[in-house]
Amino acid sequence: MSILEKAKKHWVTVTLYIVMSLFFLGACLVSMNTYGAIAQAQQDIRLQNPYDDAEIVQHGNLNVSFSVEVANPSRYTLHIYTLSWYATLVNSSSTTDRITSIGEDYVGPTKYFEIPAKTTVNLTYWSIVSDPTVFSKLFGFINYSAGLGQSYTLETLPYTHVFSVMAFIGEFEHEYTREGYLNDLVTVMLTYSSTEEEA
Amino acid sequence: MKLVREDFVKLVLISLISAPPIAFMTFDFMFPNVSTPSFGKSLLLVFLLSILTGMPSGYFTKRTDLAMVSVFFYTAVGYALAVLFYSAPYTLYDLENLLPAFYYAMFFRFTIILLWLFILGGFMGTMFGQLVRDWIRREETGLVFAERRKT
Repeated sequence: MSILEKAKKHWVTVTLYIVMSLFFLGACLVSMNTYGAIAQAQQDIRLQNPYDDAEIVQHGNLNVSFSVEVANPSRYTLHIYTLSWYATLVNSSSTTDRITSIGEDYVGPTKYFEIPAKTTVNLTYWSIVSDPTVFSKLFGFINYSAGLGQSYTLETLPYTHVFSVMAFIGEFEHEYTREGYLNDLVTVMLTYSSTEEEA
Repeated sequence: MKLVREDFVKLVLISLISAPPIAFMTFDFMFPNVSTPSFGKSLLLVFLLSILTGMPSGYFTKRTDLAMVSVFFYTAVGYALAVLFYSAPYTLYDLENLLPAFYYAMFFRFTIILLWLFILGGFMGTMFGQLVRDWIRREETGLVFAERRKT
């Protein structure tokens, strides 16, 4: 008896067997599609249009601001874990105060924030500088640069802006400590630094 | 006993039809957060499904040695499929593979228990399959003779 005839004779069992196989093949394809979409999201989620500014505001204070867009064109919601922004002035000539902190902001996991699928969110940060100690360092930098032939004002100083975001793609829950390798699969880490000029 | 062409065809068919559950269980074990539906790394479920996957081998193959060899075959094909699925973003979507080291770490280092369950479950499945087939045949024979006795 050929295989085809045997299959016809046991058609119930053969059908069940093939249905089981097709079910798992379908599950494999769906899972693969999800996995591919996550990999695509890792590529597509990005920071764009970074913009920084500094201006003198009331009472001679300095307002240093920074804005950036987080674009999420993927089909998954982006759950923000941490957001951080640091504005500094790097003075390479100083041995004691090499980095002057101008402003900073940090949003941790305790504050829930999400970026829905297929949306772009604009994030803006600013810091008002009024501390005389900071101003003295800024003016020190301006005067030192002037001695080298480079003229700066408070508004044109080369402030460094560093922004970073850590987020999780979608609702792919797992044990974050035991299954550490899965963190990398669904975690998005994006960093912008004005010194690198690349979002 | 000699192997005939029909045995090879049967081996190939069983290897292909039984491979998807193995591929899914392997992929799901590696990436339970991505797969749908997910067993959530439950080894008991993996073992039970391995038995179920092995049953057709025993049911359709009279020779026990061939049925057991087919378990190795479909496990190997299923495993290869799982590795292919992991490569999908790279091969199908033309994306950089996220974690290339996973090929070694996930599919060759951490899966001894999983393979052991597939093979052991498969062997048990083949035996159950053969038992079920023999039981059905006995019932069929009994019914046939019962009808003859009546007539």
